[in-house]
Amino acid sequence: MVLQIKNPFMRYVLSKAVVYAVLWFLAVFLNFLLPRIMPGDPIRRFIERVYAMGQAPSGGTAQIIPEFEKYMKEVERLFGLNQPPSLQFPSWFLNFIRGDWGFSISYLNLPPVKDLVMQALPYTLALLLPSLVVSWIIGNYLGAYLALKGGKADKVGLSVLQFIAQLPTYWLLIILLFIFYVKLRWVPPIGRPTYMIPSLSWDYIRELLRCMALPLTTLTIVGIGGWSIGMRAYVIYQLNSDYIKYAKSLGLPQRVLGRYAFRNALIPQFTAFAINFGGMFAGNLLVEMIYGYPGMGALLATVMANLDVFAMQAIFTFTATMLLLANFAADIIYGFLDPRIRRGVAEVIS
Amino acid sequence: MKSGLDSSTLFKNLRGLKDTLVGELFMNRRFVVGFTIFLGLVLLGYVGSLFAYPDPWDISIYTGTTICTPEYRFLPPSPGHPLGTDQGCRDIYTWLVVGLKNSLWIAAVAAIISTTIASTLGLIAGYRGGILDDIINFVSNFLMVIPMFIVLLMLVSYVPPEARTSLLVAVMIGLTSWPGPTRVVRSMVMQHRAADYVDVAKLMNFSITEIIFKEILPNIASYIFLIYINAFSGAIFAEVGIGAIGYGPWDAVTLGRTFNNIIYGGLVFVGAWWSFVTVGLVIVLLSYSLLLINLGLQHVFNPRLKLTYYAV
Repeated sequence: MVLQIKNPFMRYVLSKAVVYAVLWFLAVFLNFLLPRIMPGDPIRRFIERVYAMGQAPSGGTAQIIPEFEKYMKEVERLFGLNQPPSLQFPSWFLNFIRGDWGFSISYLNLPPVKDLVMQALPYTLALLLPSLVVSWIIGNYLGAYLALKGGKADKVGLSVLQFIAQLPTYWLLIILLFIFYVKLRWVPPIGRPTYMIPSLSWDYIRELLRCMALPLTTLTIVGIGGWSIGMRAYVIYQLNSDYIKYAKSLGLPQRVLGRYAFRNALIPQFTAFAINFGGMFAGNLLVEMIYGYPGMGALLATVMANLDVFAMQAIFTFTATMLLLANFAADIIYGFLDPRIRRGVAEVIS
Repeated sequence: MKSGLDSSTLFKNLRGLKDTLVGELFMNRRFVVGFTIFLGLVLLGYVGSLFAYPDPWDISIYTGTTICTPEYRFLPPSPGHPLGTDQGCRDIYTWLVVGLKNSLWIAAVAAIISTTIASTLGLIAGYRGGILDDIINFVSNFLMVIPMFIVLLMLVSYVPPEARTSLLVAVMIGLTSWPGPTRVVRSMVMQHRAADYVDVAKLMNFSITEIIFKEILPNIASYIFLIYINAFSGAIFAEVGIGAIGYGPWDAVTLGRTFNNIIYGGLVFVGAWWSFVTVGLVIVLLSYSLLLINLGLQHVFNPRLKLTYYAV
């Protein structure tokens, strides 16, 4: 059966969807396979860990709980390890799609991994989304300004921005923490006001902002560096293109030329934004750890420290899914914003 | 080359070219600044560790015992401890220079691995084309979509701590960082595939291996060097990242480990700014100097960039 789709944009979307579906399946399979083929046998160590949890210490000596064999059988059944290897992947995969992501052994009450992710996600988004949006907007204008201005300001500005973009976020955060907490005592050293009851009152919001001021500032500053360097390069590329030269020869004012270049340079920045949006779901591990912030990065650190293999798998699969979705969205946005692809005049260059 | 005359003139020309390239490089301000900083840091690592305590873990040299007592904890800078001591009475200067030395080594090995894989795959994919190219291109595109730092983190956390040696970490960083460079080499080779000198080599009945490794490789060598510098910088960041989280090599002190110690040791909260400012500055200067070297090399190697002044 050959699908006949007339609309070139729909054809583009469909072809991309097929590619990303294949990529997603491969990513999930790789994620499933890795702990099973790694040296050191992480699954074995995981089972040993669960075994150790079953030994209740009493009076200084480890005592095996009664019916231990039965207990271990139950554990193997819960993680699907009693099935033949060829069946383990399909059952795990179907469970993942159905929303059954298994449970985590990192916490005493053995919570479902999905609940853990859903708890951590709002915190991560609250931290990373504002800084991503703000740094994207400021970075775009700053980069375009430097590219259009040129000369000395551009050279100095570029050097400064290159330096800023190289800064590790965790180091900048530590320095700001030292200045504004240790020396000046302006902000608390935690990511949210745990000493207050969450509410929508003005007091709570002000306190929350005070807590998040440092990580937000850090991520925004470093982000501005990266976004503006990219935008500057794209605007310069546009300024060197034929259509701008032609428009210049027609005598269009510099302001109008700048606007054309800016609009076209924004297209790759939009797609990069979408990709970064997807990357956000992994959280920022080091910043969250330094700040004791309960986001995705901190969750990942916790399950990794406990060698919670199945929770790790679920979280990585979730992260990869969000990333691939974001990349897919980026391709769609690109195709939509670029009229050459939207009308099917040209194939996308990838 | 058949006659000796030809090869000697060719050699002379090559040397002349090399002389001008190197000469041009040292005229480039960015390259000179970057190279000087990088050289200084390498010296700090290798010469500086001669002046450090022999074992970063052994505190008995200055405390007399192996037990850390409060009077040796969180010491401010002094001649004996240029950067003070941490919560375990360990000398931070020793940790910094030894860590720098080991991190440079890990990054060099990791970058060699990723550059070798990238060049080989890129050369084969770009020159042969066909199904092999499709496979290599698909795999590297696939791996580029997935953030390699997370994959690296996953890999190192699956390995039991005692098996996580410097070499293993270097290999893992190398194995997770080749997809991007592969694409660069591939597109570079595709440009060269249609060049006249390749056609001549084909007419002279050179085998594919000879054309790829004897003809094309020397022509794109300068770009491969650029890729190596990039990979080196990326490997430093990767090592510091996983080390700071606590999954760095277990057998050696690295920059990442030093940073991990600073984050968890409470050095920020006791106000020991001299320690974390210096360690962070070393990391920042390392990556910034490599960036400057890279920009300088790009300027000299790629004349097209010079015309339009389009430095990213």
